[in-house]
Amino acid sequence: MRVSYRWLQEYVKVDLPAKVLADKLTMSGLAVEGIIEPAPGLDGIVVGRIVEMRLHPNSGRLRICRVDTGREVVQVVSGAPNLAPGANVPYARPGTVLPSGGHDTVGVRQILGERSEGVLCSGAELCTEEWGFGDALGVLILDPGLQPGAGMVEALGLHDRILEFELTPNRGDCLAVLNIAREVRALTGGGLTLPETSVRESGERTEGLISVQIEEPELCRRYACRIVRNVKPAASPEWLCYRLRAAGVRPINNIVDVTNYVMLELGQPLHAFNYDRLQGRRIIVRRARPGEELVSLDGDRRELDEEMLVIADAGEPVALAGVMGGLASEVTEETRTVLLESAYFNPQSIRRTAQKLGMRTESGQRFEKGIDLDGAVRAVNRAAHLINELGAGEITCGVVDQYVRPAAPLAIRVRAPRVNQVLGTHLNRAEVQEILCRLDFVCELCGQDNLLVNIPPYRHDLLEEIDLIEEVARLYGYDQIAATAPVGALTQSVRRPALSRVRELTGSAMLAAGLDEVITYSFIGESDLDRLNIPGNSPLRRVTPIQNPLREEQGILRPLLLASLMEVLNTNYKRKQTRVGLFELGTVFNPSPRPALAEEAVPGPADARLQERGRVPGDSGALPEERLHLGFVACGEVDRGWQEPAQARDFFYAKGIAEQVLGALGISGASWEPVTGNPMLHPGRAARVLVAEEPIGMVGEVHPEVLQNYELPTRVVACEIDLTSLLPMVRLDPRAQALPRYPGSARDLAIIVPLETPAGHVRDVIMAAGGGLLRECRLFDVYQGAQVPAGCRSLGYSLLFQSLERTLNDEEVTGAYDRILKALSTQVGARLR
Amino acid sequence: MEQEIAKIREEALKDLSAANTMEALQEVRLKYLGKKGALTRVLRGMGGLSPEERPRLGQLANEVRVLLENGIERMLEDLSRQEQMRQLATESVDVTLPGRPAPRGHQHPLTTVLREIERIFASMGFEVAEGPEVEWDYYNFEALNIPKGHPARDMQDSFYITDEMLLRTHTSPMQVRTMEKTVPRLPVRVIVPGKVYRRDDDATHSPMFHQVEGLLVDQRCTLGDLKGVLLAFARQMFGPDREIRMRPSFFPFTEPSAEVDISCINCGGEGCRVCSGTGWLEILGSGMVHPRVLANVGYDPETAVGFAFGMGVERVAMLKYGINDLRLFFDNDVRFLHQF
Repeated sequence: MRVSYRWLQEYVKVDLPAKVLADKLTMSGLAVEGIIEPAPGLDGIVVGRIVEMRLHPNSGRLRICRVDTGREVVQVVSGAPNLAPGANVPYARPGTVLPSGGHDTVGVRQILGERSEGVLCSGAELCTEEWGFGDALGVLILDPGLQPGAGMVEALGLHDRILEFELTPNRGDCLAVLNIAREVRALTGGGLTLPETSVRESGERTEGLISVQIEEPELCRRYACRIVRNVKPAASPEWLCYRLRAAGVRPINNIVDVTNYVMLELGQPLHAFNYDRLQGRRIIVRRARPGEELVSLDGDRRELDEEMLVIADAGEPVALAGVMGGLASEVTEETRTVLLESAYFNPQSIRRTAQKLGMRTESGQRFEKGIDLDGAVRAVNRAAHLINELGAGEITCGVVDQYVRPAAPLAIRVRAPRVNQVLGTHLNRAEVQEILCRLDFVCELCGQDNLLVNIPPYRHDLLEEIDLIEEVARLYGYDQIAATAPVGALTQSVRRPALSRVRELTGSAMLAAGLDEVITYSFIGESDLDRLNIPGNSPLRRVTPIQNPLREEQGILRPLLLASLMEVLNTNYKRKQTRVGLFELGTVFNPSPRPALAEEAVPGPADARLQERGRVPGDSGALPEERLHLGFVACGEVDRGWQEPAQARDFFYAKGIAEQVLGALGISGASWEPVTGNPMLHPGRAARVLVAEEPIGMVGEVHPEVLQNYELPTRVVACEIDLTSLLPMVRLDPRAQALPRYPGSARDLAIIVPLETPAGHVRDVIMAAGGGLLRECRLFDVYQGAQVPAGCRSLGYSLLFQSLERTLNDEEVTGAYDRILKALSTQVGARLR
Repeated sequence: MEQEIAKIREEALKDLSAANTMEALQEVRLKYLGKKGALTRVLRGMGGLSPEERPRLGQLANEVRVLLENGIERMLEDLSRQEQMRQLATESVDVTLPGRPAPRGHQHPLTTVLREIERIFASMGFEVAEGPEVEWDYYNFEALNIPKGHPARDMQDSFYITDEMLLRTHTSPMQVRTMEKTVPRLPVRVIVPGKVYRRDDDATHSPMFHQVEGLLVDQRCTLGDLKGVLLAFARQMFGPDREIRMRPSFFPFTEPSAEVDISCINCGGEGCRVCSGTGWLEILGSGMVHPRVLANVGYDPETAVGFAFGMGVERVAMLKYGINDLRLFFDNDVRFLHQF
């Protein structure tokens, strides 16, 4: 909403600088986002009168004018075609910079041998075209009544500021200059002047000319109208055009302009029909019938449906109620008789229609937010008054007013102690009353501390006590309310949710491993799953689609993080960042597996309530399951400085990090199974991670085909772990163990085993055979080559035997060692190297 | 004999001072103190002295012995120190060469800011709760006093999963979920960090971003308390000189509602480019929990009062780190991430 400050001053006595007023309004809840100077840069440009004019002796086109500038008479050479002796024109003195002129300064020049002091300006040069003043074709001809030397801003009536409001949705009432004036009055105390609404009537009775019938009283609570005879369509006067333009409305002709003016002034949208185009002298407010159409004022043919409210004549719709009129009944130069409509339409109905047809109009916006039901007749009278004033037509006698669902007066009780309870203030009843009276709300006493406040019909946002408490707060001033510390009991502090601790521990472990954290969108596209080679029958293909995605590549909620991570790695790689390690901790989504009936999870109270109310459709009975995942990807080498060679990021790099994470979460005993059939991963370099038999993630090198899909010429490792399913196995608080008090005995063990024997199995055998005395078993060497038979490899372990109770003697250690050897020999065919 | 001792002393001290290697020192020791050493010989010869002379000469010889032994010891120490210094000198390195890189990952700046916000509110007694990112329309809108057809729904264009299910447009649904779980007990003091989604994508809007919601409901709780808590937050987050300003605003689930500005962290309130000359930076929306929201979850709004606030984490991070482009957060260029 844009409002001319000078217009505002017509209703409320206020002369604060615009900036000061804007700040006051902003701090009371009517945010002023901008203050616009309508015509900046006109300083130094004045009214000049051409007192004498002759042809330039050396040019057939130029003229030499003697111009009275108020201070002196100067000589100016101009080529404008519309110069005339006696005309008032804008004159820019030497030294002036024209608004359109960049950095050029107007000077004194010799033009073909004649002195020219200053310039006469066109509207284009003054940048006043948008206000309807002038063009680029000739000089701007000013009102002949102006005195030479008068300032240009004042001369054009542009000495104003336009306040640009960013209104909150609850303050639809402030889509009216008058109601903004009420706010200004509440803040500054100035007196309020209401617009004049007296009407000079003549001729026939209006009700003899039109009959109004409301078929849908719920959708149209009131329909008032007047008829204007002998209409003389013409351009509106400058002051009116200016105010419309300041508000961003294009002037059209006096009748249409008056309806728009009253809408801006009072917030009541009006519509003017060409009366002669209304069949049967009838207005019927009804729902559209199936198949009906209307060509609206903007020239578009609209298909209507029964949800839409229309204004019809005896035959067909002539307007989309409250949204836009029809082209056929438009007021034009030829229009002789006009019907002025001032009605109240149901906000939801208008909103639905406007949305359905994609039409956002000034009128629709106001109806959607709710207008003053009581103001319909005042508004049509105000329009009639202005038509009288402009001489634009003759008003017939009386208003036709169908008021089928009258407004019920509303009074709300406000308790001063409740005001203080909410705001932390110490106001008494009288103070509360004083504040509310600034808005001209009528208050009655109602008990010791209470007020009964009568709510004016234009304030649809005030429905209950808390609304009035807000009024008190914003007018009292938020800045007057002291900052205090909350008092009260501490919460029955539950510990932080385990999942958020898991997230933090995991994040720290990843940072310590040298990976950078990324955050990516939760939505991806099906094509991302294609690029990862995820087969069509994979459970990962059961995804949650978004109904209205911004684009197809963001069409589904992601079932895994790796799609996003690969994309980020790819982007970085293409930007020549080739040594990259990235991780993300984020939510993935699985469509809920079963409908609500089979749901094991206990539904929340609202879930139950929703089902009761039938709000949750049966086929989407549960929210998608959200799980916290860790994902990481890496490529390129790890820089080890100038002393050591860089380290490849291969399977074992990734597995090491995964092990680190499990360790940080206190999880021991994970097992790793080779994965050969996952098309996303390298068939020989990928593993599934199991904890307590439960698969919780995968780690591996990305399949070369997938790399090809991304056109990545580098090896990439990837890992994804489901932290939510790890949760039950996480040990966040370890139990401390006593340190061993007796020395241990270290033995090394080097064995030769067939290549196909997994090291994990060898280790299991050693651990089992070593029994309670074997405290550590660390693999320090894997060797294949000379001295080891083909098809075999050597594994070197360093073992530590130790007891918590006593020092072990040699026999015990040797016994355990031999048991391990024997077990290795019988179970995996190992022999000592 | 006395002369002999004196001579030994003189010669030994001369030899000692001339010895500059370990080997030479050993020789000196052998020559005078060894089994066949000069001084040893003298000491052995003591038996032939008269009982009158023996104590005096014995003492004399012993003094020389102690002198020699100490001297050798000192020289040994000196030599080994010199030896060590020579050794260390050969080990010296160019300290201006770079160190061996230790792994260090970089936390995303949004995570850092989220953790900081959580820490600040935790210190004021707020618990951390998290909620689902896909929400029921009921929690996201209806329970928050935004029924279907409410104009406020225009403010938040949503991504829908079904007609009743959507990606949450704010963290506020957790207000309702948390209160439902707590009612009728009091107080509720919770903050909710998380991702939120709106159907907007341009230079200043991202379809996914982060919010932190705060909620306090208690028997006694005022707009002044809200101001106090947010002032404490602003000062811990942005520095002790920050002031805050509350401007009346509108949110369907709070009343009275307020937009909260902090004094510009760049100019301190004078007005500059960062704050568009206003001296203030908007950082969050807040207000007193609407009585209807309290009643929706089963509290009696006459006895339970609350405040709520919600802030955009990206906004806070941009202000704190001087980041001028929202898109950098989700572009995840490592050269950006490595700055944090």
